[in-house]
This record gives sequence, structure tokens and C-alpha cells, in this order.
Amino acid sequence: MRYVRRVLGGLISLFVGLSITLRELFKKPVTLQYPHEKPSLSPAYRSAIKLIRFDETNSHDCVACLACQKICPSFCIDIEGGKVEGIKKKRATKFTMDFALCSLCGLCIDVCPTVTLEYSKLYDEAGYNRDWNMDLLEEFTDYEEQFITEQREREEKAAAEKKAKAAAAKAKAGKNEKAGKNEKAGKNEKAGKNEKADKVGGQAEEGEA
Amino acid sequence: MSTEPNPEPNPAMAPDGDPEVYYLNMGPQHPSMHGVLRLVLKMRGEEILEAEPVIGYAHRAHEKMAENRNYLMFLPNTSRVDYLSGMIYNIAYCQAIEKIMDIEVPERAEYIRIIACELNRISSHLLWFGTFLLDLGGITPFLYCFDDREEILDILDSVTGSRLTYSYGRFGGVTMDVDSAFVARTRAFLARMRDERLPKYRRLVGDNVIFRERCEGVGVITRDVAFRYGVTGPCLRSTGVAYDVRRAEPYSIYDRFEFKIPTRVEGDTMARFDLRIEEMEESCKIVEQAVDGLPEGPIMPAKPKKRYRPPAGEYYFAVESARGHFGTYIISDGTDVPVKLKLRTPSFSNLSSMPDVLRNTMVADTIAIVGSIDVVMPEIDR
Amino acid sequence: MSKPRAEAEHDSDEHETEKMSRILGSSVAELAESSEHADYAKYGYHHVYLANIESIPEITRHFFDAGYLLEMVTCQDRRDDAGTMRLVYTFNHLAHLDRHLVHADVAADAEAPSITSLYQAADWFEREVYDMYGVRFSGHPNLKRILLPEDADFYALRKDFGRIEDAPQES
Repeated sequence: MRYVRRVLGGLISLFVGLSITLRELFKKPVTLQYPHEKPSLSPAYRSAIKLIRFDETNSHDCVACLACQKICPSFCIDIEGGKVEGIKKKRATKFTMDFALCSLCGLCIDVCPTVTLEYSKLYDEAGYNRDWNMDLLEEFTDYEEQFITEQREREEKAAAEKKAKAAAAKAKAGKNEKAGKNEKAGKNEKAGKNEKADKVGGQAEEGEA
Repeated sequence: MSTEPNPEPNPAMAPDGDPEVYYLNMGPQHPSMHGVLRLVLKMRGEEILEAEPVIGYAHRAHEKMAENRNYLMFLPNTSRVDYLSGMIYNIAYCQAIEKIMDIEVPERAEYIRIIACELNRISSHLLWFGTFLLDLGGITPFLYCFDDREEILDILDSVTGSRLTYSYGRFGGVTMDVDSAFVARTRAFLARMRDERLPKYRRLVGDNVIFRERCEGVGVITRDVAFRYGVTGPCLRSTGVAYDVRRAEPYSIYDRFEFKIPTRVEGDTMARFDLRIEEMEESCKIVEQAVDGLPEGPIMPAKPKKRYRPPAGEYYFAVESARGHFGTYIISDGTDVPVKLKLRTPSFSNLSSMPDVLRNTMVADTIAIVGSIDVVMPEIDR
Repeated sequence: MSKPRAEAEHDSDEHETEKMSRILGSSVAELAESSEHADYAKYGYHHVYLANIESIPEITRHFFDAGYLLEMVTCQDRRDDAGTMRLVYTFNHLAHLDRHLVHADVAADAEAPSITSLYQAADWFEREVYDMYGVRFSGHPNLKRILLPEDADFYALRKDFGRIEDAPQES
């Protein structure tokens, strides 16, 4: 009798299972018919690294500091660059990344001091070979000369502004300085080469400049 | 010092002069060997006399890579050690370094980490569930589980940008913040999981007579075997020992959440199955509590360090991964490159108990047993 | 739900187990060359010992009798500093958190005693140490390579093997 009950119980469990799958049969399938239907990409979707083109300068801001090259765990970044004639800022002249090795960990983006790297949103980048050495400066080369010219203008402008400010401040301090210098000369005559007098004079100058 | 090639084979596997003994090789290319595991079975008829797991097919030298990279550069590797609980391993490594260097993690980042890790644990158990049944021949639940798992992967994708191998944690917090859409989606997922999917799995599979006949009493791990082999995780909890690193050595903010540690006493395959379903429910509870209590605030410390140089010494940090006790052992000499990084992975010890468990069982039960201990070869081979 | 057995034991004989771990700690400390307490909050373990490699089986027997689990056996290549390989054993108790780290120095070409007769977990751990560092264990039932190919002629985690050129130099 117990055996019969076991058999019946087993059969019922099978029918319960079949009823579940039967109900699922009439539901809408969850399969996405790729490649006819493409999935909707998440807002945080990220793909190959690229350089940002800033609106103010219409170019990238890589100063070839090599921070990303040093931090990359897959050793896939190759940068060359340095001082460019005419401007103070350093510029990268070669920036290639091997995306066959890149694991999109994002450490290069975290460590970049000028925040000039970001993820792109490339999708479905299938290829026929493994040659994925991409030159990230390709889209910036035409504008580079103009960038250097504009950067020089920006730097000269900034330098001029700085000079004007410094001159105004100096003029203001100049009057006070004259009074301070007379005081200092007097003190020096009295006390000779005294460290304390130098300190007082130095402090007074620093305080006013 | 000379390095000689492999010496004599395993003496336990010798033929003993019995003419009926033969050897069967399962794997490494095998549809149900859970990655590249090779099981050499010494058999007489249907009965297994001795089993020897041969591993090393997925060895990628993570520990050597750690000695060649500094602490920050090793972050992407951690997810790839066990890519099914990639988030747990990633955050565990971050937590180890934070503990060593006394870096304070903002509250919001802690809660987000708990949510992500527990969702990862659920997705790992779901994958185990689907593939376990696939091994036993039940192809249907596999796709049901993957449907649920897709939802988790999409939720984590919306925040981190990756589906499987996350590089989400940083020393001190997480990289990207979650928004209200994430919270709403997580809540919807939890409701669906608790009310609809888990009861369905219980009815479809847990009560099924064929499944019960194949799993009850099969592959019993006794407490003694578990102790001698250093078995941890659900395999240990199925023998009656309530050891969970989240309770034994609370890390992060797990001590603020209420959750049970499911245990069973039978120690067989059915016990491990029931246990993991219950663990999924407990993880859902934790995620719900974390989502309810998510505070506002930053997700990284105000002034993150530029260089990470732990003081010289040896450190050990343990977390509960989906498969058991995962320990990180770091030897530092004060520079930013570790002297040694050892990853004590749970599946390594769990699989080493297989010779004892598989002795005197039938070969047809091997698949059920090896499937039920939830081994992931990449974390064994590192 | 009724409390699982291990948790119930812990609550009722917390005093007993603390006493046991103190006795254990002192008996192991006698066998070891040096022992110190470590701050768990910083280091992750409670005691660290430096022992003579010959006394490792006896020390392990003490931990086994006290019901401690062998968590990990690994090795550190210290041939540049001290001419030895340093083996590291980690023991922990499941019911109460008490982690002990035992160091044992092995000379560069010497053999270490195996503890697989007590803890079968050490079987694979010692094989991995042999595979990665070349330290042989006497008394091991099946000492052969485990992760690297069987015909490999190098020991992977040794310091004189596998430094890549553009790895960050220790600064």
C-alpha cells in the first residue's frame, strides 16, 4: 500500500511539473531574436576608451603625463609626447591603445589628471582579425596646428592678464615697500647684520606683496 | 635545484591486480563537468573504487600577476578569479586593502556594495541551480533560471556597465552611484523572485519524484570528512555546521541585517539543493533591507589616496562567497607591489573532498554529486 | 526556527572554548620558537608563531585535537633575504573565531614533513606549494604537480621566475 502511495505521489509530482511548463508555453517568450532585434543598451554601457573633445578648446587635453600607461594592468597603452614649441602645455604626439588586451577596467580614466579619457559607446564591433591597435589621436590631428595657435593665444592672454594683476598689486605694494625699506635701512644701520631685522623686513615685504 | 617531471602516479589508483578494474576518464571536455575538470575514475563495473580529480586546465597565474602589478592594478583580476561571484571577489579585495590601510568607506557605498554582492550571490546560485538540473537531464529550469539571472545582470549592468566581470569597487568605495531607477528595478525583481519564481522552482523541481530519487541519500558528506578537508560554504552547512563568514567574522555592515543561516543535517545532494534555495531567499531578504535603508551621501571618500602602500606585514581577510570561505592573504613589504598574494578559494578545498565522497558510489551519481558541490574551476586553478 | 547545533554550543560553552584556546595557545607557544598576539582588527588573525619545521606535526596535532580547521597552507620565497622558504599554516575554529598563523622556515633544498595524515586538506595545499615553490614534503601520499603541466620544468611563484619587463618596479 505504501508502495502504491509512493508511486501515485510521484506521478502527481510529474503532472504538477508538466502543468507548470504547460502554463509557461502560452506565455510570451522572453527570447530576444538577436540579430534581428537588438537589445536596449544600459545607460552605463561602456566600450573602447577614447579622448574627449572639449568644447572650449575643440581638442583633447592629454599632456602625456603617462599616468594611464603606468596604471594599465594589461599594459596596452602606448604614449609619446612632450613639450611642444610655442606653448607651455605638453601635448601627446602618439596615443595608441591595443584593444585586444584592454579589459575596460577604467583605471586609466580614474587616474587621468586632466580628465580627458572616457568610454565610448561603440557596439557590435566585430572584426576579421585581432589587429585592434587603435590610434586615439586620429580625429584630432587635423585640428592640432590650429589648437597650438589658439593655445598660444590663450596662454599669452592669460599671461598678460596675470602680468596686469601683478603690476597693479606691485604698484600698491610699492608705496608701502618704500616706507618699509627706509625702516629696514635704518634698522640695519643701527643693529648691523641682524637676522631678526632681516626677518622683520622680510615679513613686512611678504605681508604687502 | 633540478626540477624533475611528474614522478609516480597516484598509488591509490593502482590496479591492485584485479582484472575487472578499468579506468574511465571524465572530462576535461565534458558537457557537465562544470568547467575544465578531469575526473579519473577507477571502476569495477558501475561502482567507483577511487576517483582522482585532475585540475590545472584553467590556470592563469593570478597570484603571479599580483606580484607583477601594484595593488590598484590588480583590481580587474579579482573579478576574473571566480567570474560567477565576480562582484563578491572584487569587493572582498577592496575591503581587504581598506582594512589594512584604515580607509573609511562612506555609508552609502557600504549599502550599495551589500546590494551588489547579494545580488551576485543570488545570480551565482541561480546559475548553479540551472546547470545542476541541466546535468541531471532537466533542461527546462535552466532557461527559467537564466531569465531571472538576466534580470540581475541587467540591473548590475545599468550601474557598473559590465555584466559578469565587474571592476566596480575601488579602495574606499564604488565607482558609480545608483539612482531611483535601480532601486525600483531591484524591488520589482525581489518581489518577482520571492512571490513567483522561487516557489515555482520548488514545485517544478524540488517535489519532482525523479529528482528526489536521484538526489536523496546520494553523495553524503559527513561532518568528519568536511572537517578534515576544510570544506566550507553550503557543503559544510548541509552537514549541520552553521558556519558562515558573515556571522563568524562580520565584515562590512552585515551585522546590521537580519538573516538566517540555513543548515541541514543530512549532508546529501538534496540537502545542498534545499539549502541553496533557502540561501537565495535569505539573500533576497538582505537586499530588501539594504534597499530600504539606503542612505544619502558620497560613494567615495573625500580625498582618495593616490598611492596604496600597505605597511609591511602579513594580513588575512575572509569573506563568504557563494561557494564558501574566500580568504585573501597578503604579504606586504611597504611598497606598492605585494610580495605575495594568496587567494584561498573555497572550491579548492571542496573539490579535494571528492575522492572520499565518490568512493563506493555509482558512476551515474558522479554527475549529481560533483554538480551539487558547486565547483567553479577558474577559482580552483586561479 | 530552532538554533542550529553549532551556534547553540558556542553560546553555552563560550567560556569553555575560550579556556581551550588559551590552553591551546600556551601549549603551541611552548613548542614554537616564538609566538605573539596580533591585533585581529588590523591583521585578520589572533596569534602568529614561528616554529621549527620539525615541530610542525606536533603543533598540528594540538590544533587537530582542539578541533581547529586547516584553512590554508602556503609558502613565501625568502631565499633572497634569509636563504629559506617560509611555509605558512593557518588554523581557525568554526564555532569561535580564533585564527592562528604558524610560520616554519625550510632551508632551500630541504624537505618539510607533511601533515596529510591529520588533515587531508593539506594534501592539495602541499601539492600546490610543491608545484609553485618546489618544496618537497616527506610522507605525502601523492606529491606531484597540481596546477602547472606535469612536464613543466619551472616552479612558478619563485622570485627568480617570471618578472616581466614592464611590470611596475618596486619603488
